[in-house]
Amino acid sequence: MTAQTDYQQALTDITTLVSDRAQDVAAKPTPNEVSQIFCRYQGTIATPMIEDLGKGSWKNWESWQLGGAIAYLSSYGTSAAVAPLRDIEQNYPVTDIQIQAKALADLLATLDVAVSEAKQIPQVQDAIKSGNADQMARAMLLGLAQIDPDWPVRASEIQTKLFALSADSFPAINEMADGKLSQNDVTKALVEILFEDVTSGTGTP
Amino acid sequence: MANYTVQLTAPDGNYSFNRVRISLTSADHPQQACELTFTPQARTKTHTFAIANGTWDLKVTGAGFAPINEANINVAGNATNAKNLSVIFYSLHSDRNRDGTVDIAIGRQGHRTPENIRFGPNGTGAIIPVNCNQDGGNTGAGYTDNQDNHVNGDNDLDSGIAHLKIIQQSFGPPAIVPPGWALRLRISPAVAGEAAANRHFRIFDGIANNSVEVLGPETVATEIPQDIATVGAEQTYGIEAVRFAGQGFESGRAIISLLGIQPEVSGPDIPAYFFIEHVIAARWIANHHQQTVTRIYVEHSNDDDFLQSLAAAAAAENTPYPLTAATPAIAPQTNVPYLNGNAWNNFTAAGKPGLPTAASDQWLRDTMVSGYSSWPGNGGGIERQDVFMKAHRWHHLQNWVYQTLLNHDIGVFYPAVGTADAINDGNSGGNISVTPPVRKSHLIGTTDYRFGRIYYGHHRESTLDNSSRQFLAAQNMQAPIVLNVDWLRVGHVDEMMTFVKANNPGNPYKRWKLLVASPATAYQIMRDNQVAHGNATLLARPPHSPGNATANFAGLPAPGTADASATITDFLGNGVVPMYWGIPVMEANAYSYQQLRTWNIDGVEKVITDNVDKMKSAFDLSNADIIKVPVIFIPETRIDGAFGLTDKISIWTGADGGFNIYPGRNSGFRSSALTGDMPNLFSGNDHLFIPKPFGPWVVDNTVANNGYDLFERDLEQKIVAIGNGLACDFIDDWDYYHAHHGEIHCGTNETRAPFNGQVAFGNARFNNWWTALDG
Repeated sequence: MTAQTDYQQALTDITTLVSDRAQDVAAKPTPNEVSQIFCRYQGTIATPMIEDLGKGSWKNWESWQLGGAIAYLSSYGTSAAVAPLRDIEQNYPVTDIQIQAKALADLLATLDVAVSEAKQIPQVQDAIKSGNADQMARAMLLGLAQIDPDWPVRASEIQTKLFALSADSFPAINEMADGKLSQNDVTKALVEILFEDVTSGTGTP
Repeated sequence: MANYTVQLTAPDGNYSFNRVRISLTSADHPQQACELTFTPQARTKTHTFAIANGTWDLKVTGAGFAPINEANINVAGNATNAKNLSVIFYSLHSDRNRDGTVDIAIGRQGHRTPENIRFGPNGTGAIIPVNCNQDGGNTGAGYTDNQDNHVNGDNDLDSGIAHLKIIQQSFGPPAIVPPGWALRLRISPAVAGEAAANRHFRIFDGIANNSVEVLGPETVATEIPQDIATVGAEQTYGIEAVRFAGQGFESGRAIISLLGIQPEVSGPDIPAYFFIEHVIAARWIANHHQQTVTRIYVEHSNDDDFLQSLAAAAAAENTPYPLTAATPAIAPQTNVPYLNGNAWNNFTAAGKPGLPTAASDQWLRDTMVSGYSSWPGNGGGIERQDVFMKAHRWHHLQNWVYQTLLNHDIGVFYPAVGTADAINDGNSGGNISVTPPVRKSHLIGTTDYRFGRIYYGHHRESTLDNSSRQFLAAQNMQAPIVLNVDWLRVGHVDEMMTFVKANNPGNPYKRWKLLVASPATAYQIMRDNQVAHGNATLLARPPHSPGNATANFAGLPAPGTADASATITDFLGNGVVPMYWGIPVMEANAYSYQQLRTWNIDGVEKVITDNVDKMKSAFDLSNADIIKVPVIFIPETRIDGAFGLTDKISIWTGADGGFNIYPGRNSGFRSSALTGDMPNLFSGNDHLFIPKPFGPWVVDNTVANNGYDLFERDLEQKIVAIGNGLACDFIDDWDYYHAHHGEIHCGTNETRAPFNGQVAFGNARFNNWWTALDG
């Protein structure tokens, strides 16, 4: 299946959904539902979608569909989407959509610079060549940390709060466990509880 | 030199002009001038000029005074020239005291009359009808009377138009209006920052049929000249409001000014005086369930059984009312006018390709909101008009609304018309409801909402459009309460609660019970009956019941299965649920009855309770006022996004595929009623038309129908316990309504008679909104 075929299938899925919903109270799918259909194809359909939007297909889309596409592009959109998003921002007649298109276009325009810089980092280049998912994710996170001054600060805040929560809980746990647990054990358990669905791979993002 | 005395006497009378200017001019000498100010105690004033003997011209001018021009006065020594002044001016009048007659008392010159619009028994400020019905002679189908520039027939004249008058006032010796005098009529916003007032009110050149607009939406200018000769001794103008208060017109008010031009006083264009009338558009009031139903609307569908059941139920009321079948499938496409600049154009909602087509559309409730408007009528009566607020929904029924429903008896107002607000499901009328009269007690004092309070749902994907929200808020009478409907797939407040009447003579603010959907109650009923009736079947038409002539249960369809029927034992067990959640064409996610049960009892119940708590903080509501109605919900779609610890129902386990996340939160579900959603009912006069829940059916050949539904029985017993004689009619709406995520309430609408405030609150002032309100 080519990316274009996948994209056309996603549009067909949406049309089918619309047909199913015609008589419902909510006569049309929600943007969230449309976004979920697109997201089933992950990033593969981003390019044909952006090309399609660039040709002005959005002029014939209703707000629920365009809202779903924008939501999808907020995860998988690239800097190529900036131009059609700006067009939507300025010309689509629904205020809510204009606001969403502007926010995403602003974000993707910033992203363009960040991605260009991060791709220059040798570790990132090596990781991409390796194709190892874990290595790629780590290298890219560290790459972003190098070019985004806020990133380490935000990560540090989360880490600090996690340790603080662990430290706050530890005296009581220590007493209950008769000294059989270390604070590191508590911290690890906290991470597992808080991020269980991500680390186990069963949850949505 | 001579002492030349000018003695002026102003006439007796009630007028507000008191200053004149005396001017003596001569070809040979410098001009002499002075100003005199009269008081009620000193109507005669003199001024002595020390002037040279010779020929002088005398001019006396003043706002509201007929000018005196006396030329070639030969001054030869001391003399006195005594004149009796005439007062002539034009004043503006409206029905300020709301008795149906234009008040002829002269307003305070240069000030608003009244200064502030006030309500209560002695309130002041003319109330102008929002003339949004269709009396005839309109521009076209879909046009209301106030969407064209003329008076639409005699009935419109009597019932849809208020009056405004210009009256010539004169005091003292008769005088002729000088030829240079002129009048101008102006309309302005009463509050700075609001849109031009001629977009909100229209003034006609008279009060006859076909009188035409002189100031209004189609008049570019906000000020126009009025011919003094045409005005004569008095001229009456018709006035209507083009819209209710709302976006860009939050106050609902305007000021209408009469400008008196006297060139000899202030030049040819600058007014010498103003009279200003302060007026307000009539308000729109949403109907609540304590008002008597006068007509019920439902789509003329193929579901004859449902239609007949509903018609029979309406006819069985002690105060019966007719049923009108809406026909969207044959209603021609009908344009919806909106004001574009100074012209009425055809509206297409943002992002929509054109008008809805003619097709079936059963959602009467979602199309519009039942309400009315009232105002003091001409001649002393009260005018009242049923007015539906058109919801910002762009679907087939809209054509029927504008083609058929809009008529002499029914007005329609569309707050979002002409805006760029998005169409979404949160805009629907099913997401806008009204409490009966309620009271909010404070530490000191109370706030009484005698017309009830509007409540609507906020959904992060489909919240009520901005224009409709502003419209509801600007009516300033039924202060809206915002509930959370993120947990619902459709997202309408009628899916989780409604009010029914209760007899409580001692407290007019508690003559109701709040019915709330409760999964916990549903499961408790099943647990209570597990031993005795574990095989009682849910989600099936019982044997030999309407819709099922067989001797077996006929299972009902639900997402993923043609037969969703299951027993109490199933629902309380841990087997696999035959339904699935997810986007129907895309995914099928199996889950267990145990997951469904925990999610319902600990998740759905919690989010509904949170909404009840919002109601508790908005008005006096205790648990004793609440009836919990058994309903089981199912997950329908899953929401994207990362969840946090507080989004989990139990923090000790994971998301459990969404079943451990509170509905409506990230990674959680949006849901719909699985069993018939009984609170989503139609509240009639002494009957409740309740969607059949198809809850657990206990076979019992010793009773009528050879059995009974435990959920129906539970609700019916609770309604009987209210003790006010409400009858429960359980109606099968599964196929055409429930299966499409709606119920009887969603599929009906109604008109209702005015609430009798006098009976409820013991004082006739509470019959009309303008006397009922304080301040």
